[in-house]
Amino acid sequence: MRTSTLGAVLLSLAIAFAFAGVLFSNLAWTIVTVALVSAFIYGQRLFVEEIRGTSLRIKRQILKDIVFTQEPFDVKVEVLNTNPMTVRGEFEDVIPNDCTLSSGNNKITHDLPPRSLLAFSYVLMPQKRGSHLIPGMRIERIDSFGLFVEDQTIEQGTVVRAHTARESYDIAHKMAGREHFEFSGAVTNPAVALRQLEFDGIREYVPGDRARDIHWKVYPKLGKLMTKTYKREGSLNTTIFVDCGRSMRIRTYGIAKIDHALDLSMQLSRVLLSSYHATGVGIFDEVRVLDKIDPSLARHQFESIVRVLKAVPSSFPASEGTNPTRTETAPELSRSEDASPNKISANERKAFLAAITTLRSPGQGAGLGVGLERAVKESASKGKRQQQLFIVITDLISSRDSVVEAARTAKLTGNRLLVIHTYDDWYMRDTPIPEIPEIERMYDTLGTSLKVEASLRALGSSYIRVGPADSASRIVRAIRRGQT
Amino acid sequence: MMILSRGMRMILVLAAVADILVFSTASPLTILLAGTGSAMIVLGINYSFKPSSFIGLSMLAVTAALGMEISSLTDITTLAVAIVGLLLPAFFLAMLALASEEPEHRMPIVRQPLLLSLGFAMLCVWAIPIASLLVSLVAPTLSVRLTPMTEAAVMLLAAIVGGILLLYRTVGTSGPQVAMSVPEKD
Repeated sequence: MRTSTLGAVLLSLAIAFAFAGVLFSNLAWTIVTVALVSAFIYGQRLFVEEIRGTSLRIKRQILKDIVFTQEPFDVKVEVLNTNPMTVRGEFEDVIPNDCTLSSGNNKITHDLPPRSLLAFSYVLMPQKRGSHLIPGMRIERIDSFGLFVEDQTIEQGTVVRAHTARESYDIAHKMAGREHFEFSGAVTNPAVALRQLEFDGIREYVPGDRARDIHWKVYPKLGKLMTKTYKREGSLNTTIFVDCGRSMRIRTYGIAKIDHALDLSMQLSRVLLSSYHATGVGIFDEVRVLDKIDPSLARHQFESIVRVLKAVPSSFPASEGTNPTRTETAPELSRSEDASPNKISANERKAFLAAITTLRSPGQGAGLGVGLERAVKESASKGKRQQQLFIVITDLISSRDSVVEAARTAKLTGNRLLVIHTYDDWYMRDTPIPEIPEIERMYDTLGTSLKVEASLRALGSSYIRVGPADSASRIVRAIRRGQT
Repeated sequence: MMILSRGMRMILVLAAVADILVFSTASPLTILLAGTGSAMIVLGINYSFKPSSFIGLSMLAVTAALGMEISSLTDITTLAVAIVGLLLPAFFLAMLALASEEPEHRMPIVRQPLLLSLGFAMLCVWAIPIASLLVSLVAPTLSVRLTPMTEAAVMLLAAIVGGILLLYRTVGTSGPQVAMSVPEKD
């Protein structure tokens, strides 16, 4: 609690009166001094009562259905004073770290009488994707007499989840109907054959038939156009899994792998849905499946997918994290580097044991594995012998083992798996011309990647290695052309 | 909590000024200062303008101190005059003047802080008789004459010690408050 200018002046006046009392040998001055100091004390005690009795209800409304990165959104704040005392001062709604004030003002100086409402609004712009916490409201309070000032924080936060940039969302809509994964016809490449089609016969060409279905070889013999027909057995249910492990979230330069993976998954799912393939999406980390929506062709399936993808954790700079090659453990289970084994707290031990218990408990499906492996096993068991396609977007660092296990499971259960590998070294574009040790490391990494690719292919999975410059369109075309 | 309306506060200001003037031997200069000061406080309350009220308070305080000659607080008559004629009016005047910018011209009076500050004021004024009593109890044979300066020193000492003790207690203001359940925005 600080004394304001007026409070300082009042105290100075009291001191001057005290000196006058001594100088003039008149106790009347001293009594006035006591009266002024008493008023000062009354003001302070009254202010303490006001602060203790503060009861504010803060309601924030985000006036937008979907908040996109780098796009402004309105925040409406309502503060209700339920205390019988007036709250005076400057009300400031604290802005999250990764957001900037776009327009309006998040501060307002106001006297809020009892049982009255203060409403104001401002516009924020999130700088990055992910969850942004508006931590609360800071009030620089002034007492009734204007003698004291105090900063008070009302911790009533609101979480705003900013989705990826609108551009990516728009691209997904533009790609719908324009890009297709599959050829019509019997396709040998398992990653491409999203429709299980079988050659049925030929018939005369009818206007409206697609050019790709025309049987050109018989045209010279018959002198008329014939069309190949196929018997459709049904389309594959497809689930796109996005790896949200710690290594995926580290942002070294430019776009983070997790952000790129999110954009790809959204755009690929839109392409699949536009081609009437039942599509779902799942997000997983090293330990568990964070969220999942089963494949469907429901009317609002894409909106549901977007909602699930909003829960993808945000990226963080490389300086805050550790070397991705060393992030083999789950975030919850890892501890700081400088902590010695003896410094593990009791809470950390409990959390670790709780995590292990959860994995091992019979009710949680013991033996299903962790992370992606568990998700694939569950999906396969739900599929009721219907063939499925799993598209996994991962960097194969922290979830490598579970991806390999998932590929094995997919092979055993007769499903298909396509791995889109966000290759870590390609996301380090600001790296200067590498030194010899760095080149050797990159060579080793590439060698390891090739080995993993080989093992995945041996398990019947398809594989494609992508970098930050690879758009969803390029990946779709590459898959369609069988370059997987 | 008691709420004082604007009219009531103005009546109180005039009553306090009258009280001071009645109990003091006022000179024309004193009356002029008191009139100007009280007018400034009334105007400050009326127009919700604290600087005017504060300057008026200062003028009235100087007037009150100049208007009264108190050389000792050891006899009960002088003590009563000092409390009723100077201490209480000056205290309430200060409160009224400082609360001139209250919204809707209402001034909240909370019992506990009021009793605490009044108790502090009484303790300061009664510190001189109490000190005399203590001296007479500790050394009954000693005849001590308290000069006005000594009495002022005792009162100021009591004010400083009491003020520090009362103002030392503060309040932690950071922490969760009553929250309205607001659904998380996706």
